[in-house]
Amino acid sequence: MGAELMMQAGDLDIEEALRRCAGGDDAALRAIYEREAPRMIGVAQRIVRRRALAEEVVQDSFVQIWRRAASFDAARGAGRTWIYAIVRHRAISILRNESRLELDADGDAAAAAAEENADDVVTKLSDSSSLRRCLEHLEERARKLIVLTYVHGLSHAELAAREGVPLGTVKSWIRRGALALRECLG
Amino acid sequence: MTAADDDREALAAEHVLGLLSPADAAAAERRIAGDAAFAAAVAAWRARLADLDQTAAPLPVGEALWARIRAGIAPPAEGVRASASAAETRRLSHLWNSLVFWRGLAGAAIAAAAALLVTIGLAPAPQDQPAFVAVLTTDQGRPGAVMHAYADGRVTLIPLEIAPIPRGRSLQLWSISTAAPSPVAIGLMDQVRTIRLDLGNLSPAQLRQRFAVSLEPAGGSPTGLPTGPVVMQGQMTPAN
Repeated sequence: MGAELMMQAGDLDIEEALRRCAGGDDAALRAIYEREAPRMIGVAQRIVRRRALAEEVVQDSFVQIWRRAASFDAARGAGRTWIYAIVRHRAISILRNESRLELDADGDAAAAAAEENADDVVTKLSDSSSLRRCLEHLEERARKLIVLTYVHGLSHAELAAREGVPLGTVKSWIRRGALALRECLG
Repeated sequence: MTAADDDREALAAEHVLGLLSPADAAAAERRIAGDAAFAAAVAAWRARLADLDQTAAPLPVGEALWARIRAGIAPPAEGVRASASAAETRRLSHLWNSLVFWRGLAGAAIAAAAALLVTIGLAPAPQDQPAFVAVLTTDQGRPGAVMHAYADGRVTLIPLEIAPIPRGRSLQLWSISTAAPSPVAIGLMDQVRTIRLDLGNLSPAQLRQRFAVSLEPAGGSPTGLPTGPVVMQGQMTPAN
């Protein structure tokens, strides 16, 4: 009964669920699936663009979460952050390794339409988010590059082509932006 | 803050943003394991940017995806993992034959294959649930990859905790059986990611139940037989 209630609750304790996964309790993995899978698909699809690939990312991620749950260390970060790091890592790895042709074949027209504007992403952050406040204080160019890279998995080369500047320039803009963001966020 | 601190911070930020090449990202992962300051910098960057994950619109997911995940975490049935009995081996061969036989036939053939599963005493698997699962384990006994074989003949291999493949090398997947003189190469991975395998080149008599992955020169073994170390292996078992 208690477990069922927890599965339906919006405020699932992910750290506790990961501890139960580490102990072999697959109901805890199911609880994470019910609570997080829709957004995990959303995060993956922003990066890999295609639904089928996004599902592959999320499938692989859950298998990894299950196998690696024992290595999760709450002292090093929140459970949700850990889970989404796995999803983004998997998605970006597939994005970088997949031949561009295959992605372009049926992905790009829809992808261009689906790509979000960096400022729109920032306005989706909660008003109380210090990340939002600090991103808004960044130089516009750095804000755009950092947000687009994080949410869509764009590479240095893609950013350079879009901005029409050399690779080294993009790298140094992002680097300066990241250090300023760290300064602001602490 | 020193220049070295700045470099560490910038590298950690680039890693979390996903800007590193696959080789550099793999190097960063190795550094996390051995460099506590770098690990802390990466963790701090993940925490700083995590709110951005919550700006992704949730998309509906169904039970089919959960069924695939469930099959991926299911432990192989005890006993079958140790060594399949002769009867089970025969049954597996029989099903393997049918898997390849039905592969490529559309629609009705899947129902027919499901019916065949019933006649040989196995529960029918839904179309998107694997009929067979193998967990390939490393020599330390850790799960390295999961193979799924579906009733329509598709076979996928999902890597779990495989170390990044060294530059200039490939991982090669082999099918092994005591009934045959040597392993048969059935797939090649240059990058650690999910691959789909084509087992259509195996004749029914060549279908095996044991699988192994070896480290080979890029492009696969030059001799047609495993030449490098076996990094993991495992046995196909019914998924339910």
